[in-house]
Amino acid sequence: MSRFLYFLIFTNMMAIITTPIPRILLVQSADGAIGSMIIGTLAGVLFTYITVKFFAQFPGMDLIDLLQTYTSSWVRIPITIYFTIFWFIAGLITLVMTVFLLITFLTPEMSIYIITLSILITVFFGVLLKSKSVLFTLEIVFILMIPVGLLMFFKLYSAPEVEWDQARLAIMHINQVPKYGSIVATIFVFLGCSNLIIFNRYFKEKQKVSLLSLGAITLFGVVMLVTSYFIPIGLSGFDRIGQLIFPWTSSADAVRMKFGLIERVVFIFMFIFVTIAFVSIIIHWHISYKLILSIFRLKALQVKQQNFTPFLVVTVFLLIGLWITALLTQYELYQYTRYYYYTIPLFIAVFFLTMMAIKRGASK
Amino acid sequence: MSSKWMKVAVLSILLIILTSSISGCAYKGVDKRAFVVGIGVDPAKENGNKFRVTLKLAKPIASLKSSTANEYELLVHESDSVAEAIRFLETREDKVMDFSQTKILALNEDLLSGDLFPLMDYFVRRGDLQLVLYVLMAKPTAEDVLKAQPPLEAAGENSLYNYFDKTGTESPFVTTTFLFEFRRDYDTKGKSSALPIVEANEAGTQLTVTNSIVLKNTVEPYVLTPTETKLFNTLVDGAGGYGYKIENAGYKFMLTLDHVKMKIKIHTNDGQKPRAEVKIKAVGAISESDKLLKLKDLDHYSKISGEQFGEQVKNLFVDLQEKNVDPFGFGLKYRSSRLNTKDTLDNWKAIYPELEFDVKMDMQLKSVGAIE
Repeated sequence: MSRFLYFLIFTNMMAIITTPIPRILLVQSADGAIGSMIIGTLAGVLFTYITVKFFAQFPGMDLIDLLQTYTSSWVRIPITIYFTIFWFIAGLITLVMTVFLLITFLTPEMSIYIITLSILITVFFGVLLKSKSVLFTLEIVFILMIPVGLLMFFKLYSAPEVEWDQARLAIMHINQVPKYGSIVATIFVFLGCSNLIIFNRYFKEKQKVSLLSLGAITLFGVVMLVTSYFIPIGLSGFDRIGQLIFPWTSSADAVRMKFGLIERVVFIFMFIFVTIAFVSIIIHWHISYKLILSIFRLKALQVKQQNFTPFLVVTVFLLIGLWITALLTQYELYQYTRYYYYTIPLFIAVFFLTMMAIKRGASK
Repeated sequence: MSSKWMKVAVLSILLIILTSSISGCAYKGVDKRAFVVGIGVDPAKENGNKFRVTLKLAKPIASLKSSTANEYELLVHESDSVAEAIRFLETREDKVMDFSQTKILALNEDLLSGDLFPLMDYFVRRGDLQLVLYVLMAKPTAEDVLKAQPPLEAAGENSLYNYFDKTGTESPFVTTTFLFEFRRDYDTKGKSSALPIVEANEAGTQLTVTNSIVLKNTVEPYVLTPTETKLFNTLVDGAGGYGYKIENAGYKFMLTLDHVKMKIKIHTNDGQKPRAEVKIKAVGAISESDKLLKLKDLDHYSKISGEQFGEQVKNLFVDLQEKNVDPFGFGLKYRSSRLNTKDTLDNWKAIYPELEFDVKMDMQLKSVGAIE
């Protein structure tokens, strides 16, 4: 497998810290979260395997090409629109959550518009990059984050502040029936490989899915899930963990570096996760933007050689982002996100049906 | 204009606009901020109010050389809630109050009985307050403790910090409790939280930290004696130090312990009384004795000190059990070692008063000091 594919999958896994997923899991910690995580992990790995296997059959072609070549337009257009919306919301959730995180912990007195705008300006340029440049951006961010990430993991797992009895107490609640909400939230962690629908264009060589690579993906996903689930419990206690709105950040605030650069390690963590969130938003919106452009291009915006539709599309993205961020309350964010995750099985069904349609078209 | 130049132009304009936003943290420079180093909460003196909130602000100094004494400003206001009092206090300073450096939360003894939830709410809800700030019980009042200024306190230093962050004094008498830890233990069913008690003398020149208080919302607070505090800290944090008194078999020792490890297991076999098996491993040396000691008898000394130490620990457990508090977290151990059912908690509530403690002591004395 290409290293970029790993980056795509791992970024999606790391970005869960800046989505409501940890809270969705932790709220149900006494109510079957662990069972749900196990089921979700198995389903997610299976999804990864099938998806990567499928796109390996069509090296160098993205979903837009495949749909245009092998299916008729009444299949193509609704599917493209659905995926556009799905990916756009995925990015939107990360955006809103990141803004809420910043406004709660970093700059409580600052205007929400200024915070959102300062994120969106960077995202604007990120989304408009070429797909290949997005992958390179991803790689650079990933490599820059590795040392900080390693420090974070070392710090978290060696911290005397983490009370492992609390984590054990959470494991003792394994005998509960898994819940739908937590299962789908866990599956989302493993959806990173579906970004192939655009980026497969740049994987020109045939991808091989070995057992080892699948194992690496599973391991990384499990480590991220365990970190985002058990570390907050170990730091903030099992019984009242559901009360925390940002369980991960509030808990990471409990870890300190006595002789390090700064005492509150939480700022280093936030640096990592806000950066990862940036990249995650850029990836999701980039895909969304590519998809919508494949079916929609305004002739009126053609000025000489340059067509300005991409700028229009991304500006619309930004405006919706800004509007939604200002509009949503914390409760609504969590509630609507939950509904969004509820539709993941539908997404997977559509995804697989599309794959089947393409395969049938290809075999003809 | 070609599109390349267009891009460069747009980017430059954007960068120039962006520079205007780099005007300090959230548009407020450090010279416009007043750093709060400690918050104290007392019961109100006037009728009608609930809390008397004291803020300790650090006064900026030009350089460490030019300033000889430490200067702080104390602001006091009484109000119905902590947040309201702090909002009022903000109007007494021309600078914006910055709580990101706050490290001390001093609570008055009278506020600690009953449910602490409404009191603690503000400190956890406010995201920019650190969760690694030190919570302590202040005696006689939080205001006095924040006001106290020991003569050894140098400029730019806060002596209250040094007690707790283990970079200054490291005494087994000092319990260190962070805000997140306090909240976690207070909320966990099957564990109680412990706070250090900081006492200021009348002249405001000295602070003493020797006792601890154990809190749980359902029971009366219980104050540990200095000896109990020392044992508690030793067992929970592994904090060593001087001063473990042993009197056994005709010997009188003082021990120094380097490190102490405790493991708890709860056995609830059918037909037997519930039993807590506590394994303690302690490594140390003898620092004072009333007799000449023989090096070859070290094993014997280890044995007799182990016996006595184990006895002291057991007495502490029984004492806490009688008061129905559980700072060691036996309940948490119980809950985290068996599959959860809906009766687990009720079972534990029935078990704890009858629990028997089986202390297995492994004392290893490595030396008798510099003389026999």
